[in-house]
Amino acid sequence: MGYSNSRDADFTAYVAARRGHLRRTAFLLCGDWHQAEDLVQTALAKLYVAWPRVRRDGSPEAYVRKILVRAHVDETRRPWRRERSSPQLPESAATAGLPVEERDALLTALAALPAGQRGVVVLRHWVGLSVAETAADLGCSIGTVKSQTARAVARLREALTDVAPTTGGRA
Amino acid sequence: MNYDQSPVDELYGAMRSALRAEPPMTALPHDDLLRGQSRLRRRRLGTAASVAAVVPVVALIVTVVPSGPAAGPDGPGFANSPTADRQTFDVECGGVLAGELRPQARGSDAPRELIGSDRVKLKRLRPGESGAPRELAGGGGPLQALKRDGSPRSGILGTVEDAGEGESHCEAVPGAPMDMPELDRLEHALFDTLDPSKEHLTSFLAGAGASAPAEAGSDPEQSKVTSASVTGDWSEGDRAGNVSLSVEDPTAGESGMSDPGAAPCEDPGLFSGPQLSCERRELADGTVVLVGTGSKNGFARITVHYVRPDGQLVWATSDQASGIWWEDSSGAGPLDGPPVTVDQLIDLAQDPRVHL
Repeated sequence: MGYSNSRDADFTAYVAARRGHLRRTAFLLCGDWHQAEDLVQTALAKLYVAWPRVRRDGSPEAYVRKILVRAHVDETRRPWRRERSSPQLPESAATAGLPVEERDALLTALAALPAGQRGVVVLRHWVGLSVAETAADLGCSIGTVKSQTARAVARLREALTDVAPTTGGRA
Repeated sequence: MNYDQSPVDELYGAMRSALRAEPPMTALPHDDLLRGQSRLRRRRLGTAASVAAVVPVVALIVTVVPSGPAAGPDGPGFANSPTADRQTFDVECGGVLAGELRPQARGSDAPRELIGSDRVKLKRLRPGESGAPRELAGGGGPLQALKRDGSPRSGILGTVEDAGEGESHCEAVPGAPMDMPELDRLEHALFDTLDPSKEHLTSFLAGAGASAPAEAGSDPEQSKVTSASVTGDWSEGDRAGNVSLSVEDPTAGESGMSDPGAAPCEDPGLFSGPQLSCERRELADGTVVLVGTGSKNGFARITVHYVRPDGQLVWATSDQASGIWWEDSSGAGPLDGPPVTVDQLIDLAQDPRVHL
């Protein structure tokens, strides 16, 4: 197998295994499935370019996660993104799990967070990274991660106080 | 929800629940592979192009011409109607951004000149959906314009800037309808010289590079056009090649080579793509042109380079395969050879209409 074929096969295998997770992470970051797909496509295209180095370092997941988070933060800094804040949820469907109101409230509350805080919340509480790993992904200090997490959780708590409590533990 | 007690588990569970509305995933890993390969190719092209891109910030103008020439009053078949509305086209710069530029809000009869920035949005690219990447001389790296059938010509301005990781991208912003005589002349010359019967040239794409206004926020129309390029697929049955014509003003881009006849074949930046040979050819009137032959992705390419008396640089190229074929091999298969001859390219390059 030639170099290119090996690279392509490795990359395809990685994408097949991890694409769904990456898309869900992207959705939690941006709150929109279409934009999440865009972010994932961009991140994976960049990953392919850097694949030899990333594979050598053994951390494709960390690499693509960094791209996702930073690309999302960049997006929110673009003028047309800043103007697009909306009280309406982008997408929701009545499915099992949390009541629709509570699920929507969570997404709304997440969407109301600044991009950096949302990134911290998603990386810490969804991806399950440590403070140090989160700081590395976001390119900031550990202290910043801690303070951002505290602020984000406080804002989530405040936004969700009127929502009826339900169960929702880690499955 | 009680985040005071167990914020991690509560948040994780809530997020899991929120994700249960996840739509089915339609993209395949192979799609991502193709996009990655495409990006890698553009990255390599961009690296090569950046050698000549000495202007750090330029304005780029993209124009899109409708597929298929249709007879009109402006010349040999261009539906050049800058006042037409309801156009939609995409632009991607440096392989980073894909923007979709829309007209005014649906149903609106308002003029199309100003398009709110909130109507520029990211767009997913799928294999086969995009056109071929086009390198525009004059700085800024590769620029890709995606054609939509039936779209009238219009423009997008993009500002090239450092987007990190050594790449550049364009942020698509609305542009006013443009009527560019430079492109009209090149298009007409291309048709008249290579395909006067209008049987083969389709799917035109035209673009121009312009120097940026001196001050940020200046009127983009004050920019000086420093390069222009037109390219079209050359169809023969179900197969297609490509022809293109580019002009550059070297004094604006400081790309040198302004002395007619002095351009050396050894200059690695002279021709795009691997060259197998380069020949200096002196014409009957003493004019010197350079003829490069080579291949790209295994298919033949001929390029004629000509330096006009006024110092403007001209490239005329004939490719065995179309741009889409280069991009992802999903387009029409390649021709048996380059669609037009060296002599035709020389005639084209020396056409008096071919200048900025």
